[in-house]
Amino acid sequence: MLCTQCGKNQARTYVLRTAEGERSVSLCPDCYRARYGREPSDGDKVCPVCGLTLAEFRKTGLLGCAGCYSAFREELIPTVKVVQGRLRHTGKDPVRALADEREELEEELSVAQKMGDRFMEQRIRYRLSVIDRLMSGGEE
Amino acid sequence: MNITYESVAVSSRIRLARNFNDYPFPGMLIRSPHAKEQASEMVRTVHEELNALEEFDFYDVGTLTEARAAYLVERNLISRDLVRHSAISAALIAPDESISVMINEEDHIREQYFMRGYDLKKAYERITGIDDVIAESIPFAFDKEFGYLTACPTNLGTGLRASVMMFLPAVSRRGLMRRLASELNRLGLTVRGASGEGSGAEGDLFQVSNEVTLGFTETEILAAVEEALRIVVQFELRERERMKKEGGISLRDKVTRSYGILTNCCVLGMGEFMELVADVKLGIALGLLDCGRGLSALDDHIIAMRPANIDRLNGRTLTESERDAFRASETVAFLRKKGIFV
Repeated sequence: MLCTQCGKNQARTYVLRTAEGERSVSLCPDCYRARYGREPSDGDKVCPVCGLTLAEFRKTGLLGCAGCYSAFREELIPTVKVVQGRLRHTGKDPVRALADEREELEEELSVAQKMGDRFMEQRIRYRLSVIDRLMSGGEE
Repeated sequence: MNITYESVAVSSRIRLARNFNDYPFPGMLIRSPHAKEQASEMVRTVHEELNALEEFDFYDVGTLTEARAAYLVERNLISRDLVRHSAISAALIAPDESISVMINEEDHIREQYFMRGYDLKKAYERITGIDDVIAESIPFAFDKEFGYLTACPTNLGTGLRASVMMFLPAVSRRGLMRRLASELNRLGLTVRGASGEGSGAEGDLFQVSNEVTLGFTETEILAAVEEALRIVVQFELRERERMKKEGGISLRDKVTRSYGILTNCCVLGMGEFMELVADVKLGIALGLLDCGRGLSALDDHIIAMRPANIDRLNGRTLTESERDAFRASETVAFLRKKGIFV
């Protein structure tokens, strides 16, 4: 079977364990290294976003990306409990702040529309589009 | 501000750790073949947001000379970890050196506010304002349960670390640091040497900071650090009184002897300088010595006498013995003018 990424070299199938269960990828060693930044291996739990394995995290204590927190959630909870003592964030919340700002802007938008203030309407709509982008995690 | 408090709580730093949602954390990013492009996108975004607020000095760490990087590290404006990531890292520093935003250290963004004294609430207000500005266009990695997501789980949640630099000559010289550390641990705080993790306690300076970052609000964390601050200050002041009472002539001799060397020397290594200057600061704090310089002026002088700072003052890289000679002559001039023993 050819590598699903480059379509040129002979592939090997690697079994990766993710939060959603096991899945396999068919890649040549070069494409595997390029995608996951490490030597090909299977059987270890891996983050599907950045390719960090659970074994690497246990070695360095550092996660590879925001996606690792979903991929290794189950294993992370005991670690977090030990280092932090608590498991629920109660501080500043950027998502809530954006939602509040959105609500205020919606009100301002209807005022601007009633007053026929096109300039203000445009500015509010632009900021609303930025907020929507931020609330969806930055995806366009 | 309270002058007695100030003789113990030297300076404070508030730091917020943040990450972009859609890029690998720096430790992983640096391995990617696209690291440079992704890093410059991040740097550009943060730079644009901050410069809309005020003018920051921009440093691309990869293009800094070793001397310049060492100078910034000595002034605590950037960290050694940021220098280690020089292929992808940058820093934005306010001209008055009160704010430093490091990009691609252990986390994508480390926002820091520095101040003399210990007004942690004011420091937090300032840095959270900077954080809000950056958040206007950057989707931070955030999770309902874990809060702000960070490369290391020890910074999860608020990503907030409030540190106070404390001058604790009496507690440390009377062998009571361990007792103080365990009392602080009980309150969820840590105490370590002045330059952070793993460093020794040069010049009797220690950093007290919160250990836990998740499960408490920012206000609760700051209140806990302030409470610890009160405990440490009272402990140190009590021990200073005891020290003064019990120290007698030998304590007076130590202070005056150190002052004597600092005002009459031609060569002064960094280690000896730190030891002697701590004695002089202790003498000032105990009211045994009035050298016409306040404690904060001495703290500024200590920073200015670090190797890379000396090189910068001279406009070139000096040899170690040239630096030791320069440190001696500067310190003699700095302290000699008005020394009076009380």
